[in-house]
Amino acid sequence: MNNVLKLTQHEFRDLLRNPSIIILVVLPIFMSKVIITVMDQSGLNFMLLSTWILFAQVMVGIMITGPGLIEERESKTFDALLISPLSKGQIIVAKGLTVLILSLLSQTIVFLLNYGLSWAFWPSLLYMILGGIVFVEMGIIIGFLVNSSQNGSAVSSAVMIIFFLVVTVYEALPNWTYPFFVAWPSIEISQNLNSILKGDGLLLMESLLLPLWIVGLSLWISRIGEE
Amino acid sequence: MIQLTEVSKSFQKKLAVDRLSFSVGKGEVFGFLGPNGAGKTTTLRMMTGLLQPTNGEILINGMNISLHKKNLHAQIGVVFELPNLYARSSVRDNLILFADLYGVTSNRVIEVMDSLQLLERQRVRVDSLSKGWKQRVLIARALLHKPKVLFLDEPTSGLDPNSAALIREYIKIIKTEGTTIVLTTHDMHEAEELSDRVGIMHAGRMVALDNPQSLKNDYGKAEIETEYWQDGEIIKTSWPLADEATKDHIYQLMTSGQMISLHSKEASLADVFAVLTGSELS
Ligand SMILES: Nc1ncnc2c1ncn2[C@@H]1O[C@H](COP(=O)(O)OP(=O)(O)OP(=O)(O)O)[C@@H](O)[C@H]1O
Ligand SMILES: [Mg+2]
Repeated sequence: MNNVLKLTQHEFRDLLRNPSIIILVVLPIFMSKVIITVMDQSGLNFMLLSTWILFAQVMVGIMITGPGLIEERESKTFDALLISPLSKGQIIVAKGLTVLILSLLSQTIVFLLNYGLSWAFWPSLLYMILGGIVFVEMGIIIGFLVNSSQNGSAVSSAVMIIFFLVVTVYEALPNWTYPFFVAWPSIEISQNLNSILKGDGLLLMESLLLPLWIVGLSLWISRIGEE
Repeated sequence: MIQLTEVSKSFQKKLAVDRLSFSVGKGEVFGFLGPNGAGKTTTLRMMTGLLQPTNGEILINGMNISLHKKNLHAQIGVVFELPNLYARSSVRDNLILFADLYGVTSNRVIEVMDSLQLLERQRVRVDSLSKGWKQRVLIARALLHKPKVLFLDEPTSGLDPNSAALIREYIKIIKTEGTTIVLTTHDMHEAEELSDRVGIMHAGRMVALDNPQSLKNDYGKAEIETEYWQDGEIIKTSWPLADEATKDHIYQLMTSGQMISLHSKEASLADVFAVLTGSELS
């Protein structure tokens, strides 16, 4: 555990030395403030706070983890870690944890900047963490399956857009399609957040599916890790 | 110290390493030679547990690397073929990370940096260092935890002669401390200068393995080079040292007063390499 924290600390410093990482963390904050303000003024009920929290999750989780891991595999610094006392699992946890912290930072600022600190923050935090984990895990999978940086950025962007876009689209579709969409983690998160922010509390089905995603993706990662 | 038994590795259909068996003794320097693509790096990666052999087993210090990875990783150091350092971090931060992971004191970090003359540059970002300096940082990182076995994949490739010589001297010092060393190189003089024994790989097979002198005796051809006058011109000719007729040629040239110079040219490892691996590119 101690070693995991040492690597996390190093990862954190390394990421913060990289300007493009800072942009990825700040962009959701900036966009949420601008677009929510515009939507408010024009009286539209579209692209709400939940959308932007999700955006921060997907953006930071996938776009930092995936390409970062591929870069590390390409430059072979990953090999240096593998022959250190760290196990493969510890390396993955340390890397995931680092991005998760950045993801929570971005999400929290999006929330506070647009909604202020209220009781709703605390139940929302649960979904920020769960969703944060899901998308970091997706980033890790992309980071292991894709073999070149160029492809990595393309695949990461595509996955990010799909998971983000589905949230802005599904509400416009007829109700009977919902059982299909509820399987998407991004929908589970935004539905719960919307419900919390409206004061309606948590949604059972949507909440239970999220840990399933986390477990499923973890199993996938450990299977890839063994190869 | 290190024992390979019938080790093979194939990538998809390609057989990169083919039934390799050899051992390296404690405190020995073992030099790996072979053309590009012979399988040297692949073998080193299997010996360090980064690749799983398709067949065969590798023991280090009596333990199977596949089964006791973390235990053995504490006892080995690796200088990789590529300078795989954190480019955005300083020399010091690169070393401190691994020192922390190995549980090594900061005094040791300073000691290692000092021995490689890195102290002055410890705050420099690695991506602004030249190749020679990066190589020193790589070596420093591999030595932090005082490994019993050190693997070096082409430690002097691409370095200027002075930097290369400095690194060779350093490797000799590590050897005197009793470290077992396995290194690959394309520099025949380096292999000869550093290695107790040399293994030559070709297309995944070990085609020869012995100390440099025996290899030269077995495969090289020592020659006598002469310069002499003939019909007003200077002629250069070499004759094999081992040939019966050579002494007659020499005797004749010397008694007739034609001889200008006479040198013996001993076989080099490069000759051995050429004989064993052919001249074709692989
Ligand atoms: N990950 C891999 N996937 C597929 N083939 C590989 C892989 N790694 C190595 N090979 C192949 O295995 C063979 C041996 O490669 P290796 O890198 O071990 O050679 P080498 O002796 O180190 O060569 P060099 O002197 O150029 O460093 C090569 O033909 C190479 O193409
Ligand atoms: Mg190689």
